Amino acid sequence: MADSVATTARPLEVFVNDRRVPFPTRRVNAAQIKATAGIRSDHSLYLRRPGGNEPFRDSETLWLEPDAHFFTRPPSGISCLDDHR
Amino acid sequence: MTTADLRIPRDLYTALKTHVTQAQESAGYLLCGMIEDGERVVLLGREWWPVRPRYRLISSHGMAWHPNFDVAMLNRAQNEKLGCVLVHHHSGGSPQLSPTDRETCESLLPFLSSEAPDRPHAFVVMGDRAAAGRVYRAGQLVASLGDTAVVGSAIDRWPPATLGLTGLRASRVGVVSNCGGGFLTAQLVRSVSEAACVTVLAENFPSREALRALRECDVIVACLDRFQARDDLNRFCKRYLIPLIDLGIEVALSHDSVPMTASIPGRISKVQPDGPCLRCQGVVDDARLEHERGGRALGQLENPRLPDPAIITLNGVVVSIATTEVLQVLTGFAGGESPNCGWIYDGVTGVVERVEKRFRGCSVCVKERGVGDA
Repeated sequence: MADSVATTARPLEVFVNDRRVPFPTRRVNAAQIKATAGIRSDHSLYLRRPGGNEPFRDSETLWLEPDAHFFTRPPSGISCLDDHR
Repeated sequence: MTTADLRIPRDLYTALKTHVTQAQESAGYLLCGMIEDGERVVLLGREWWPVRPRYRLISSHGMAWHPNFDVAMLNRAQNEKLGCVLVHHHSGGSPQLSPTDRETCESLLPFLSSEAPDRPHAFVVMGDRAAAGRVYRAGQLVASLGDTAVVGSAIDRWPPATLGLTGLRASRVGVVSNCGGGFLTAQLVRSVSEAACVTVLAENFPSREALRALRECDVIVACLDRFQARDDLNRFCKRYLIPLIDLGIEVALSHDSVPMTASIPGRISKVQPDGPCLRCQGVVDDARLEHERGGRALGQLENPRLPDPAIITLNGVVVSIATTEVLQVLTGFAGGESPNCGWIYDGVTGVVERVEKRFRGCSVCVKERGVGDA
């Protein structure tokens, strides 16, 4: 991993779900971003670009840009069975 | 509290209903244009996107899917300036959100409506004759749909009341006519029924007031001379998913030294939200519009030239057929037997023929349908 981690002089900050999150390195994968931001692992990560919001798989590596905005989403579900419980 | 209605054309409704009522629990996104008027929102179905099998997740009950599908729908809604309506089905007449539904709704709808804040988004549970759900805008709940009838000219299973007088009494019919014809129409309607509520707008279409009134109609009748006005109304009706009945008749004379009646073609053209528009039907095209303008720029028309005679008895036949077609659109009394494009009347032979055409989807049908106020 050492060769894939670029260390910044001071923590770089991005936004995850509108909350500032500092990162010591610019090169991280989506799972690391979620873990650092305290997001559940079964949620998915997206880079916010209106009209072109971009998904990232957990293993996918990103080069963080300062003040980039990410959001996360849980799986969605519906059920009519609950009605009959 | 804001009230909300859904207006869905038949083809989308059929696809939606087929998908969400299948044995395996299913859901999808209805991407919608809209009418917003104060505290009333009408969501106009434009595209139906069922949740694709590859997005399905294993779930202990109901259905679950990967959020990549939600975000793909958000991207489309942001690009096309549409609202997202997540739809699924519970059997029964008065469906309610289940706990699983509420959990998704309370997470997903504030998110969608924050990311695309300038339009409403909704979570809808469809029953057999009613819908329940919630409408959000800019992250906030703005309306609850409870026992709200799904409305539209093309729903195949109407609430029973719609087939009776209660439904007809609540129907709104817009008549767009030339040169003060609306005043005469209003006078006649009032003389027939004291219960009818008649509003006369002395406005040119498309003035703001005329647009605002007409977009609330259940069906619009065009009694016009100009092709340009017909073309404008054709686009308008596609845009707001309102059926249009356009009628016309002419007495064509021969070119003999002593002119004789050559033909008396009458037309009662029907434009359904899911059917061929006046351009698809060949009633209006650019060449006719250009000829009508006579070299003048768009919007610079003089009074219509009316060289041909009008015979009231012939007009009366066409108007009667058109009025019956209005009743058919409102009640659906002919079921699937009604022709999709209306009727042709031959005033010489007295023959009335059905007009059926394939829906080929011209640029008006594709681009304008269901976009609403956008």
